[in-house]
Amino acid sequence: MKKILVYTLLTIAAGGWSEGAIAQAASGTGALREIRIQTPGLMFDPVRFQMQPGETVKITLENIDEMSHNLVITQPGARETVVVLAFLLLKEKDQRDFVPDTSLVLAHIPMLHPGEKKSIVFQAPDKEGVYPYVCTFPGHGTVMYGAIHVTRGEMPPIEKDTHIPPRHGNAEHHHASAGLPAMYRTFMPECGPAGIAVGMEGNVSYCWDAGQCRLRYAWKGGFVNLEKNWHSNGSKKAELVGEVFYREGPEFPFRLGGKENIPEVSFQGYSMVDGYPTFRYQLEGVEVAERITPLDKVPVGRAAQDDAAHEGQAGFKRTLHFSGLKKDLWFFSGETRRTEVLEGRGEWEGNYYRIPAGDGTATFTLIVKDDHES
Amino acid sequence: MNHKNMMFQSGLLPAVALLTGFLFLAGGCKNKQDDRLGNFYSIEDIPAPEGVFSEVGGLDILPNGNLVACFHRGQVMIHDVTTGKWQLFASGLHDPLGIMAVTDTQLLVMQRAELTRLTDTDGDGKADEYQTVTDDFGLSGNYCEFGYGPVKDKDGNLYISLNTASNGAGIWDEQRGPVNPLGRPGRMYSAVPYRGWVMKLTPEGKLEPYAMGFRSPDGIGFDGKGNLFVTDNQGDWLGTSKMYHVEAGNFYGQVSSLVWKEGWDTDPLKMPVPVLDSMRTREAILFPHNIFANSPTQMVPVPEDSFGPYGGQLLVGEMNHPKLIRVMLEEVNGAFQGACINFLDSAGLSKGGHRLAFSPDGKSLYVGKTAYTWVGGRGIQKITYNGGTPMDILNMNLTKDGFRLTFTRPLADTVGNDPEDYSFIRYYYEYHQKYGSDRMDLQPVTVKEVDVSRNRREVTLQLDTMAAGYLYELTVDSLVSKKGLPLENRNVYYTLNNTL
Repeated sequence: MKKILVYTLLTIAAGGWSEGAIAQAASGTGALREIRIQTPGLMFDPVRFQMQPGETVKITLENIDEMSHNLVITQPGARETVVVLAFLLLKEKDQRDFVPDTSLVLAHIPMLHPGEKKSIVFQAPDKEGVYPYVCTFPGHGTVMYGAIHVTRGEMPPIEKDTHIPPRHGNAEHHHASAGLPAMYRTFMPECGPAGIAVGMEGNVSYCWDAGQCRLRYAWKGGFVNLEKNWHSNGSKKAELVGEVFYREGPEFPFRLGGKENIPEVSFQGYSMVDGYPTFRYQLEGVEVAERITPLDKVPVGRAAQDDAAHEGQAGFKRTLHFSGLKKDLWFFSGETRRTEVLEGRGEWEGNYYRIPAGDGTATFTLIVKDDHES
Repeated sequence: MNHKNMMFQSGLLPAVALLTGFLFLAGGCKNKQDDRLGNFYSIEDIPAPEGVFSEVGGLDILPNGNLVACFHRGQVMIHDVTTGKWQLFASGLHDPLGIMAVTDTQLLVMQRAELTRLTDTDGDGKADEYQTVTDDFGLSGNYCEFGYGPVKDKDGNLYISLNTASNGAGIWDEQRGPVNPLGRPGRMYSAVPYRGWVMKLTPEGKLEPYAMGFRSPDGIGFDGKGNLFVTDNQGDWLGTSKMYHVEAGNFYGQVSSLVWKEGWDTDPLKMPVPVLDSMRTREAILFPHNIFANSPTQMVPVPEDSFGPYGGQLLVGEMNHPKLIRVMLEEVNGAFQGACINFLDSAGLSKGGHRLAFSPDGKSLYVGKTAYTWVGGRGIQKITYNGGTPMDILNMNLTKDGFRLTFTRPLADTVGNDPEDYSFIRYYYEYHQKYGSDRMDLQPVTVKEVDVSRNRREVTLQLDTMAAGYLYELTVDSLVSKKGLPLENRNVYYTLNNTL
C-alpha cells in the first residue's frame, strides 16, 4: 500500500495557518483545494465529497455543534470496525482522542471542542474507492459519518449513495403546504423570534409576530418549508414557498391617544375557529382580537364584488375587534393603495385611519390585495 | 480493567466481539444479551402515532390515566392507554419541551416563546384555546434558547427553566426583550433576560426570577418531598454534567446568567474564577462525563412501593446511553449530596431518554426519547415492574470515615468481606470557562476495613482518606446475593461535597 501523506497541522479558529504550514501544503501542487466540513448537530456537512486518486487537499473541520467531535478517515469498509475500536478506548487512561492505533485509519482530525477548527492536509490513495470519514467519539459513529469518493468518474446520485447516513425524518411530509389551513409557530424570516406562520386556503399565507403582536407580511403561492428547521437543531429559519406580496412597515401600526403614541403590547394567545387563529393581545389595556382569513371567504359587500372582478387576485381579510377603548385609536398604513376598509367607524387622515374611542368598542375590517395580476 | 479493554490490548478482536460492541453502540440492543433486570422489569415500545416525527419533548399522565406527549415538530397527542390509539390534541407549537396536564381537557405546554395553556373548550378532543400564560422572558432568536418545564410546587407556583444561547449562532437583529451586551460574550451566553435562569410563576401569574447559573437545564422536577432539582449539561463552566438542588436566589455556576441579577453591572467573564467559584452553590450530584453519562435529562421520584425497591429515589433520563440513571440523595450538613448509578443499562431501553412519567398505578414508567440532531432516539418505551427484588446497591451513605452501602438483598456469605472487593478512585472536575474538564487529581483510595452487617445487607467501608470536593467512584467486585443473584451494578459515583 502506498504510504499516505498526512500532515497534521494547526489549531484553533483564530490561529490561522502558519507560514511554514502554508508553504508545506502548497509545495509542488500550487494552492490546495480546501474541503470545509462543519458539524451542524450530529452530522457532517458536507456529508460526502469527491477526490481524484492521489489528489492532495486541505480538509478543515469546524465544530459548530454543542458537543465535541473528531474526524477519522478510514480504509474502505472499515468505518464500523474503527468505531468499535474507538469505543474500546473509553476506559483507557489515554483515550487518544478516540483514534485507534490501527492501519485501518488513514488520517484524522483530533477531538475538537465546540467552536474549534482544525485542518489537515490529506492525500487520497491512488486506489479508487469510497473512503469513509467518521466521528469516533463513542456513540457518534453510528450516525455521524460521510464518504470521500476517490474516483476519476462521478459520484453516485446522492439519494442512492449508500455510504452516507440515511436522512432522518423522511416519514413525515415536511412540506407544510399539504393540508391548509395550517399553522406553525417557528423561526420566520423578517420577523422577531416569536414568529407564527399561517397558511390559508387559496395558498395565501401570512407571518404574524407574537412578540410585537402584529402582522408582518403575507405571501402567495404556497406555505412554508420547514425541512431545514426540523433537520437542524432549530437554527435554520422556515423557508417561504411563494412570493411575498404584502409587507407591513417597520413601525407598529396602531397608535393610542395620539398619532405618535405607540402602545405597549402584550400577547394573550389565540383561539382556533374553523382552522384559523384569532389572535388576542392588549394595547395598554385595550383588548384586541385579530383574525385574518382568505379573501374568497369575504361574505358580502363591496370587497366581495371586487373579488369577483379580480378573480385569482391574492389577498386577505383582516378583522380587528377592540374593546376597552378609552382613547382614540389610529391605524397607520403605508399601503393605503392596497388596503381597503371594509368595515370601520373611522376615517382616513392621510396614512392614518382614526377610530374614535366612542363607546369603547370598535370593529375594523380591512381588505388587503396584491396589486399584481397573478 | 474490563473485559473489552483486555481484548483490545491483546490486539485480538474476534468478529463476535466486534459485532456485540457494534450492536451496543447502535443502541438497539433488541436481541439482548443478559437481561438480569429484565427478570424484574419488562420494556415495551409504545407505537408512535402515525406520520408524526416522534421525538418527545414532554410527557405526562392525564387525570383519566391516558398518556399525553408533545413532539419536536409541534404536535400534542393523547394516547388512549386502553385502546392504544393516538389522537391529536394540538399542533403548531414551536419546539415544545415540557408538558403538564391540568385536567383531561387542559394542558400546560412550554414552547420556545412562551408557556401556553391549551384548552379543549367544546369537547371535540382538540384544543381550541391557546392562551399565553407567560412570555415574560427574552428571545434573541438563538436556536439554543429552549424552554423547559413547567413543574408545580405544593403552593401552586410553577417553575420553568430557560436555556442559554449558544455561540454556534448569534442573535437576531430583532429580539424579544432587551439585549444586555454584558451577557453576550462567552460560549453559552445570556444576551436577553433570564437565559440561564429558573423562573417561578406565581398563581397570580407573575413570572419571577428564581435561581441562576444554568447552562442547559433540560431536566427540572421535584422529588417526593417537594425539593426542586435541575439537571445541567457538561460544557463551559460545567466540567461534567450535574444535578442541582435549586433554591431561591442561588447561583449555580454558568456565569452569563449573572448579568440579569438585579443591579449587576460587570462582565462575569472578566471576574476572577475563584470569586465566581465562591459565589456558586455546588451540585448535589456529578454525573461523570463519558464514563457514566453525557446528557442527563428529566428526573422523577420513584413511587414508594410499586416500582421495585427504589422508592423515594430519583430516576433521571440520559440521552446518549441506552439506560436511565438512578440517584440516591442524602442531606449532609444541610445540603443534598449523594450517588448516581445505572438503572436498566443495556437491558432493552433505546437511547434518547428524555421525558419520564409514571403510570397512575405507579407500576410503569413511560420514557419519551429525543435526539434533536444529537445522540439519542425517538418514540416512547414503557418500563413495567414485574415484582421481585433484583440484587442491587440500594443506597450509598456517607459515614465519618467512609461509606455505608445498603444492598437490596443479603450478600452471599463468601463475598464482599474483603477490602479487595471494593475499589475506589477519587477525582474532581475543574470549575472554569473552558468546555468540560478532565478528571483532575485522579488517585486511588485505599479501603482499610470492611464491616458487613449481621443481616448481610449493609456494608460499611472505612477509607484511607475522605476529601471534600471530590467525586468518589466505587467499583464493586462481581458480588452475588445469598440466593445467587448477580449484582446489577458494579459502579457507583458519590459526590462528596461535605464530609461528616
